[in-house]
Amino acid sequence: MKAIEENAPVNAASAVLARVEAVLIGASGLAMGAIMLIVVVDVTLRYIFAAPLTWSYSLIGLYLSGAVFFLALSDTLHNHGHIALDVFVPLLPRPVRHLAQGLGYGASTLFVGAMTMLGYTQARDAFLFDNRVAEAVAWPTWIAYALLTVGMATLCLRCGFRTVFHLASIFSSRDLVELPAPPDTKPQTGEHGE
Amino acid sequence: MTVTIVLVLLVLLLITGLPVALAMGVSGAAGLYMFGGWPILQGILKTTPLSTANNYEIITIPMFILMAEFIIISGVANDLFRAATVWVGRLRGGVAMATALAGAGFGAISGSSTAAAATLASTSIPAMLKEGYEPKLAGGVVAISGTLAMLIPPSIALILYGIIADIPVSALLVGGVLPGIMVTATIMLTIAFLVWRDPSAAPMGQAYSFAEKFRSLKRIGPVLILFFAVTGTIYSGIATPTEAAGIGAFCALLIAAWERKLTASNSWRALRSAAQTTCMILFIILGAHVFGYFFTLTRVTNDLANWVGALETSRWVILAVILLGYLMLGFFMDQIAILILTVPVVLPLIYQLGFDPVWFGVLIVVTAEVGMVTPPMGMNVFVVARYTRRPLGELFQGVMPHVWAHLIVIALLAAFPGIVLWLPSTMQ
Repeated sequence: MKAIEENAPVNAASAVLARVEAVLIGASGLAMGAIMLIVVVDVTLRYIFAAPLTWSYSLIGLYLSGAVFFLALSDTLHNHGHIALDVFVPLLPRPVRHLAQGLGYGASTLFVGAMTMLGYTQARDAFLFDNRVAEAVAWPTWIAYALLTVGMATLCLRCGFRTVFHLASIFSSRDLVELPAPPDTKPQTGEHGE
Repeated sequence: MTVTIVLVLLVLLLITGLPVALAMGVSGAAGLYMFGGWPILQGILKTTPLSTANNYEIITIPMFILMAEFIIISGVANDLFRAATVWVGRLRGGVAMATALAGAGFGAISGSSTAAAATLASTSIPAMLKEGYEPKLAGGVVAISGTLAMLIPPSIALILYGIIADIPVSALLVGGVLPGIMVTATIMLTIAFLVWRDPSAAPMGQAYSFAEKFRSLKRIGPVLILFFAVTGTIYSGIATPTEAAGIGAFCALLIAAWERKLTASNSWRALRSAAQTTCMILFIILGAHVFGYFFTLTRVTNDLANWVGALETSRWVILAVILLGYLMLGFFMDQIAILILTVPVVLPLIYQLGFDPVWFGVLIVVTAEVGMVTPPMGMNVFVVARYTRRPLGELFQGVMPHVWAHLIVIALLAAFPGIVLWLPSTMQ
């Protein structure tokens, strides 16, 4: 898996979005740490004291794994962490590249937007009807849908941002949207790794 | 007609650089809309995101990724190479062979091929160049040794295959052990062959006493503990892969703390990086699920399986064609994306041809490894080039002998499934 690079926001709109993404990825990282600790405590209690946590599976499965995934979506896209086939992109003329990516992100905005809208309606219904899981601890399900909605909504905004600024870049002499850094593989004289 | 339009759309979105997850999701959603309108698409988009993420078993992936992050922070991965050099460094080409052993050791605590290549590049390449190794040979061996992490447990690629194919992850992980040892030995034999043919490519190394050799093992003790805490507990049936992954991540955290490297900023970087990598993988799974529903509803997978099943060709020829396809895809695509995109389509064929899915999983991961070191998308070679500042052409040339040797290993694994299946068959 490739290392994920940091990506400086290219304008004020991107910077505002990046702040929201920073908060969400922070929560995602905390959820990751919580999963690790809960699994260790659960395994210890199960094998040493024969008294496993009754709520660990549902808490992790319902909330924490979703928090890790959904809340990291937009920050990962912003930092070019989602794998893309970038081998052919440099071969495209600059306006064509921006047009193609503008259209691609436009379609992605609709796709992610649809999931956001559906997630919101499910969160609202689950909250209004107080839907809960039928397990030892009756966790409310609206929180899982809310995590989905927040993560997808931020991703939708990031995709929308890329749509607008890729298309605007066609008419500008400079790139108005963050682009992934090219691989740093050029040979440099006198450097042989010593 | 709809299938053709969707496939063309997918290819267009992929080659214009849209993330693979979005390309699959968008084209799959477009296909579903054309097939059954908004009601069908809505039904699938309502359930797919949560069913992708809200799964207890899937946490095996982030926990193993987190384990690797903590191990990299601790710095003990660097000691693997030093210890291996003490044991085999005296031979001609010994430091290069030590790199292969260190790659196997790193693979035993991490499932990431590029992380392994980056760690090895930062430690072993300077050492090899200092001793007068040919840069081509040094870069080539580091790039290929990094791929061992994809195969030796805990392998993210094998876990992912297990989840997609719905077969036991523990059998897959244990099945990767012997092929991993075999690939390591092949890399070392290839180095021996290269330096036998051209002794100027690598000098003789320094000899160490037995006392020094045993002292070197002390530094790799934490790695051995971690390996047994993970693979040992899975093999013996003490822990499930999910539990072993959580325990492994926690042990790695303790190792980093013991080495006094667990600062707040390091911990935060590890958690964030693990969250991003996990998110990247799960998002591709989500996109592939949407795309997969389209294939299922339009019966593409069934029709393909039936068509291949009706062919009057040997099943081995069909397997060879499938593996060739994986090799070619590896030239252009990331291995994780290849697995997620192809396994749901190819696996029904494998069942129909009467092959074992565990064996096939290990086989395609070994095949996908080749793509990590071949142009134009050989990620491991890019990583080595970034560290060494050597020309890409030279590094790709350096890795080619290992690619040929790798193809022989693939042929052996295909011809003798017992190499993969024997160890899982002895599991408790």
